[in-house]
Amino acid sequence: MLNKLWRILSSHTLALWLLISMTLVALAAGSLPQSARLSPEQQTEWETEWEATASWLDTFGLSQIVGSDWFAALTIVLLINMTAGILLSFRRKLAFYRGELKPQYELQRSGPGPEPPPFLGEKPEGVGSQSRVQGIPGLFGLTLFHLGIAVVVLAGFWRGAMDFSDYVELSVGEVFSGQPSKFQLRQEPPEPFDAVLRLDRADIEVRDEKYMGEFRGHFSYQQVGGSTQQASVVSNHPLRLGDFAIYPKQSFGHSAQFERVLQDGSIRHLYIHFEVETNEWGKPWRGKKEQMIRFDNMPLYYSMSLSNAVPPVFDLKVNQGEKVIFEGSLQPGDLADLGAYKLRFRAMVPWMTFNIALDKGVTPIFIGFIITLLGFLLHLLFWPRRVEWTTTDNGWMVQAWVRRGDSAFDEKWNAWCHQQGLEVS
Amino acid sequence: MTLLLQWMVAIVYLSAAGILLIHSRWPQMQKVAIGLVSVGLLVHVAMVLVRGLDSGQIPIMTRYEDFTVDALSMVAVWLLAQWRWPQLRQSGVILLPLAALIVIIALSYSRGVFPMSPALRTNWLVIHASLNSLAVGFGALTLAVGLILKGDRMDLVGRFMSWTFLLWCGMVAAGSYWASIAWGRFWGWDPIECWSLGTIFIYAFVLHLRMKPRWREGYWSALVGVLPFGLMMFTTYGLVFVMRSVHGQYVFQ
Repeated sequence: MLNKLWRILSSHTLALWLLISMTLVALAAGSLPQSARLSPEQQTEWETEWEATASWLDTFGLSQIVGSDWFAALTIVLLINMTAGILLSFRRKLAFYRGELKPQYELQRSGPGPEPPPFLGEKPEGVGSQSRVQGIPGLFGLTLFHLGIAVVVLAGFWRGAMDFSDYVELSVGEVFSGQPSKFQLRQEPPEPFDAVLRLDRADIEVRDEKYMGEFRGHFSYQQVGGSTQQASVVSNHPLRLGDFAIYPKQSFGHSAQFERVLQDGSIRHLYIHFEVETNEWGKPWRGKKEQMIRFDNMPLYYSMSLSNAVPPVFDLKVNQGEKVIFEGSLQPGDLADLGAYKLRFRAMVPWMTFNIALDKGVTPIFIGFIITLLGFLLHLLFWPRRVEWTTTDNGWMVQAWVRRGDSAFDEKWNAWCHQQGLEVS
Repeated sequence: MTLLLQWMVAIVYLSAAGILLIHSRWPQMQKVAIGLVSVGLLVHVAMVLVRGLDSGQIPIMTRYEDFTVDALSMVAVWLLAQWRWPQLRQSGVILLPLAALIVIIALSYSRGVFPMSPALRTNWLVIHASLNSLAVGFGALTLAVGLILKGDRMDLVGRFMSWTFLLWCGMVAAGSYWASIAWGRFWGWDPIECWSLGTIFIYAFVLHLRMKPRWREGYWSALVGVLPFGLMMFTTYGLVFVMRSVHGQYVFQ
């Protein structure tokens, strides 16, 4: 029973079926609407407009292919099949190395024999055997390649359990210490973000009035137990903070910075962000926004517009239900009394979006990639060959073991045999 | 000027393919075809270099540039391969018209120069895109050799396919590393990432299939060899037209 299971799991036919299945699965994951890829709005739109199809895909687990149990199961079976394949082929390769397999080339004659050409190594001095093995890295290249894949898959599973990535929008001067309410996708990191950082400056450079030139955020930050440090976050150069890393995400704009003065006199900060298109940055601009803002269970409906005039102007109309409780224009320093609290317009500052991701477990994946590529490169560059000469009192014999498709050896062997007037076996 | 040169390059490749087709058994004429292709390739390389120097950035960002460089890679890989294995010359009958077609298709896209977005200004773009172009070059060679070559050198098809596979895997790995430092994720199951992975799997499938003797040569072997190349071409060129992808957002403006 166990033997049969082993034969099935390690079979080449199973590998073929799994590979073609994985091809179809990858293409399906790339083509069908996947819930992990859709925004909540896109998801609703898809489920409304294609109700029957969406439900059908859901039923068969095709709306979230890579997160499904059957995909994980398929990957695990492939991993087992691959591991079994590695073990079997490794055994064959060891046998090749030791000359325990049946040779592909063999020539046996009587007499002293010819002087061997360089590709056939050297004959023993007297009676006896002499063997030469070349291209050993190529012998184990494919083993290394499959081992690398196993590392990538296992590291991927390990990392998948603690995957975290979310966005935060930060205004210049704003402090972030991992508060969950700031994460735009409302995800919770699997481990605490134990650092405090402040966006000190935002450099947004636009080229030719419409193309993103540079996008750089300058931070002051402090990790637990450490001192305050400064660093910049720029494309392809994330800021690493412990297991987390901060990456620039190129959405940005102007932020209206407020102090919210509560009835007991305490002050809270409030930033209202207006997104600006790249081609509008640095030009006279006015942005509009309507938003329900809720503090202390009191929802107020804000209709706002912000202009980057000098000084900046913030037009505000606040409704509580049907009742207008404030309407007016604010400039820096002006106060708006909204009843439950007052808003003081402080300034207009830039804001930027940053992606915060848990960086743990990525290194083993890239080590796996390197092993994989290196293994395959060795397989392609080195051609393993084993040649063994045996001389006896009566004659000589040469045997050779090569990799399938080693046409260079085949050509040389045939040419040599022909040159020696020997019959090829 | 670029338009004229590009048409000239395409016509030279087509003419060379015509010569190879008509004079398949006449080595002297085959050499004329190789000479023509070499001249065409020199002009092709010069065009790409001049564009790169003019724009001050590596010319593999727009559709026009991508098609132009991929066609260049196809011809360069073929030229080197036929130099090493002269019996592969005849595969130019398929590869050269394909390269000419891609050169002509490139002309249907804007030849404007667009400044790179910040995430693209890295050597990883050079590595990622170059490996992609090389993989396309080797893929086209594999296809052409598989369809043309008969007999005892069919092992070359497997060898070229293996190189295509390695280059494509390298391209995916480089892209993955780049994504991890640019966006904070090494893999996002974006459509183009899924299709690239699908291409890896189909190449792995065909390479494993070729371990069985009956799949190493003949009609079925050639037919199966078309499959991964088709998928690679669609992933490289076609996918961004039908699916929204991060590549459409950052590249091919």
